[in-house]
Amino acid sequence: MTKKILVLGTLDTKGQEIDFLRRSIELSGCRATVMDVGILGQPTTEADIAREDVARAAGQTLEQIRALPNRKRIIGAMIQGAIEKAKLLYSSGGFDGVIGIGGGTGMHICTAVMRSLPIGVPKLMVSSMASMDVSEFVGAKDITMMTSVADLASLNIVTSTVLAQAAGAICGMAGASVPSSEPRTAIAMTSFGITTQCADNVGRCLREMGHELVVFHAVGSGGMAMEELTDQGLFAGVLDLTTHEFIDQVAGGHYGGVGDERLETAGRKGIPQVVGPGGLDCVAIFAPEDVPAKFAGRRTYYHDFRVCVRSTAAELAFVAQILADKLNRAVGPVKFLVPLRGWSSASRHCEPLFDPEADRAFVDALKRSLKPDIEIREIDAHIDDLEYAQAAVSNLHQMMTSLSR
Amino acid sequence: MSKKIVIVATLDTKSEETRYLRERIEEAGLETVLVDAGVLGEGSFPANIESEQVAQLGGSTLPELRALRDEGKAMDVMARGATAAVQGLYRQGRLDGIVSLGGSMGTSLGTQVMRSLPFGLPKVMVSTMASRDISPWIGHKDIVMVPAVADLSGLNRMTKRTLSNAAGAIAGMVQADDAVGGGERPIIGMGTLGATEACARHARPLLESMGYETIVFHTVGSGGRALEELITEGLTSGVLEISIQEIFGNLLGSPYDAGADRFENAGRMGIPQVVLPGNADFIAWSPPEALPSRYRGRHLHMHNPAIILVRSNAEEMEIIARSLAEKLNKGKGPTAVVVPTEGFSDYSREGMFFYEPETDRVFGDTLREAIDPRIEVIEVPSDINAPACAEAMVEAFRSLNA
Repeated sequence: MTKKILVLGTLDTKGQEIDFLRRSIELSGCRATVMDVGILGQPTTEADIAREDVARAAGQTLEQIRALPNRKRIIGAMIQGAIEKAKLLYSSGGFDGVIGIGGGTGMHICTAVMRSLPIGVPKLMVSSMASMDVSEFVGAKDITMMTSVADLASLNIVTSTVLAQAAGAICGMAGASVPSSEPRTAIAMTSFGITTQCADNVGRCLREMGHELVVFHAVGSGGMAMEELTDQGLFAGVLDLTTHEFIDQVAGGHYGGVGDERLETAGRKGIPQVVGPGGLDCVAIFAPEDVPAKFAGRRTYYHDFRVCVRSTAAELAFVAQILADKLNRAVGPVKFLVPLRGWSSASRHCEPLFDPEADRAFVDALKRSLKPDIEIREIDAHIDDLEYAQAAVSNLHQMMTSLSR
Repeated sequence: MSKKIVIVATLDTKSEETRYLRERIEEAGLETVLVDAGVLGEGSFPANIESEQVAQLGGSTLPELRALRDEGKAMDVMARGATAAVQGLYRQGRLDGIVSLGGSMGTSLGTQVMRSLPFGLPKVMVSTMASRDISPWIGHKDIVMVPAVADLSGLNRMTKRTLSNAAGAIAGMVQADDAVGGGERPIIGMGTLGATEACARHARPLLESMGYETIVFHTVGSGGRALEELITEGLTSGVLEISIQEIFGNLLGSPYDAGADRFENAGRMGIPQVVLPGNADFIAWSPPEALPSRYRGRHLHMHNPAIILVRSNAEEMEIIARSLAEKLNKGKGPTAVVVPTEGFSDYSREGMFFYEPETDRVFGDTLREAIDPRIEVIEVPSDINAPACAEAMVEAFRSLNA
C-alpha cells in the first residue's frame, strides 16, 4: 500500500521548497499531505491542510492568532492547532511518517508537532539549525535530524540535493518494516556508562526467561524516554536500577534534566518495578574544567573526558527523600534493591568513590521515608555483580507473576 | 547496478545490531560493505574489511592497540584507519552511501569517517548521542543523525525499529532521484539570518536575472563555516555577506561562532564580495540562562524561548567594525561594504525595540576610519531589509565584477 507522508512547513517562506519536497516524495512512490504551519505572509503554494484550518483547530481564526500580543503566543497558538490536526490525522491512519522543513522558528514549530506523536512513527526534521544543540527540539523522542547545510531559502544544487535525499529518507523510513518475531514480554531498564555491566547481566538473566530487555541511557533524555514508553504500555516490568539522574538534579550534575514524571509512570500505571541506587554515588560533570568550586576537596573518578565527583551523605539523604516521595505514590508493587558493595564501577572497593558511610546515610534515610509496604532489600554484592542482577530479575519476576495470578 | 552502502561498525560490541542493520539494508535491495573498527574483541561474524586491516591502515596493529589499555587512543587509530579504508572504497566507486551506529565512542568514530566524505553523499549516523549538542559530530557536513531512543545494546522492539528506520533512510537517500540536478550557472554564496532575510529575498531575483544561482547560509556558526568551506572549495563566483553576527560569536564567546577565519576566505580566494553589517545590532545568546552576568542591566529581548538578544552598544559596534575592517583589509579580491543607516536588522528599524541609529552610526564611523581605502563603503539611507538596500548591494556587486 502507498505510504503517506505528512509534510510540515511554512508556505509563505518555504513554498517553493515544499513543492519540490512534495514532488520528490511522490517520485519516491509515497503520497504527501502538506500542512501549512505558516502564520504571517501569504502562502505561495497550495496546502492540503491550510493554515486557516490549523488555526481553527486551536480554537481561533488566523486573524485572531495574528492579533495576539507577542510572537511567542502567536507561535504557541499555531503549534497547538498543528498538534491537534496532526494527532487527529494520525489516529485515522492519515500518515506513516512526518517530515518538517524550516529555519529556527520552523524547526521550533515542526518539532513540537513531532514530539506530540508516539515514538516509532518516523520523524525527520530538515533545518539549517539541525547541526547544533538539538536537545530541546528532540526531547525524549526519536526525531531524526538532517542539516540543510545551506539555508532553505531557494532551490539550488545544495538545497535540492538535501531535499531530494530527505524525501528518500522519510519514504524509506515509512516503508521500512520490522520483521516480526514471536511476541516476548519486554522489560525496561536504566543504565549508563559506569553501570553497563549490570545491564549486560540483567539482559542475560532475562533472555534465559524468554523476555526481552530495552535499556535506556540514564542521562536525562533516556530516563524520560523510558517514562514515556512505559506510559504507552510497552513494558510488563521496569528495572529502574540506575537512578543517577536524581543526584545530578540535586547536586548540579550534567544529566539532571528530567521532568516530574521521572520514576512515577510505572507506579501510576501499576506496573511492577525494582528500583536501585545505580550511579547515585557520583555527580557527573561534563569536563574537568567545569568542576564547580563547591566540589573542591571531593574525591573524583575520571570516566573518559567526563568526571564523576563523589556525592555526600547529606545529598544522598535528600535524594532518598525525593525517591521515597515518588515511590510512595505508586499503586503497583515496588521493591528497592541496594547493593552493599558499591553502586557503580567508580565506587568498587579500591576505586576512588568507595564510601560505604555515605551510602549508608542513603539507605537509612530511605528506610525512614519509604512507606512500609515497599520492601528494601540489601544485597551483599556490587551492582555489577551477577548476583545483584539475578536478585533484581527474580524480584521483578515474582511481582509480575503474583500480579498476573 | 545496485547501490553500495558502507557500514562502519565496532563488531566487538555491536555484532547483533550491525547484522540486523545489514540485513535490513540488503532487504531494501542494496549491497553492503562492512568495515569493522572494533578493537577490544572479536566480532561474531566476518566483515568485508576486518579490524586488523583497519588497525594497519591506521598505522598500528590490533595487538599493539590492545596493549595500550586506553580505549580513547585506540579508537583514534581505528578512526584514522577506517577513514583510510572508506576513502579507498569511495575512490573505487564502491560507496554510494554510508551508515554507522554506536554510543559515544562509536559516534565519534563513525562521524569522523563521514566528515571525510564530500557533501551530497548520503551519510546516516544512528547514535545514542543524537538528542543533545550534535555540532561536534557533524561539524558542517550533511550527516543525518538518527537518535537511538533506547541503548543500542541488544535487539529488542525499540532498537529494531530504530535500526530499520535507519536502513530505510539510507536506502531511500541513495535511491532518491535528484529531480532538479545541478545547474551550470555561477554560484553566489549569501549569509543571512531571519532578521535580515528580506534583504536576501529581494536580492535573489535580481541576481538570478543576472544569470547567477544563489545559495543562502544561515549565519549561526555552522552555516558560516559551511559558506567558508564552499568558498574555499572554489565553488562560488562571488559572496554577499548580509549578516556579520558570527564575529560576536568568535570575539565575545556567544554560541554562534563560525571560527576566526570567517569573512576572510573570499578575500583570500580573490573573489568579489559585498558585506553588510546585518545583525550587528544585537548579540544572540542561547540558552537564555547561559547569558553571562556582564550583560545584566542591558537592553534585552527574548527572541524565542531558546534565544535571547542583547542590544549591542557603541563599544561593541566599534569592536565588530574594527574586526571586520581587519578581515577585509587582508583580502586581495574586489570588496565593498554597504551600510544601511536606518537599521541593521528587522529589530533596529524605526519603531522597533532595538531602534538606536546613534549606536549604529558608530559602526560606519569606525569602519571608514579603519578600512583600506581601496574598499568602498557605500551608505544607503534605508533599513537593511528595504528593497533599496538589496538593490544597492546587488549594484555594488555588479560594479565589482565590471
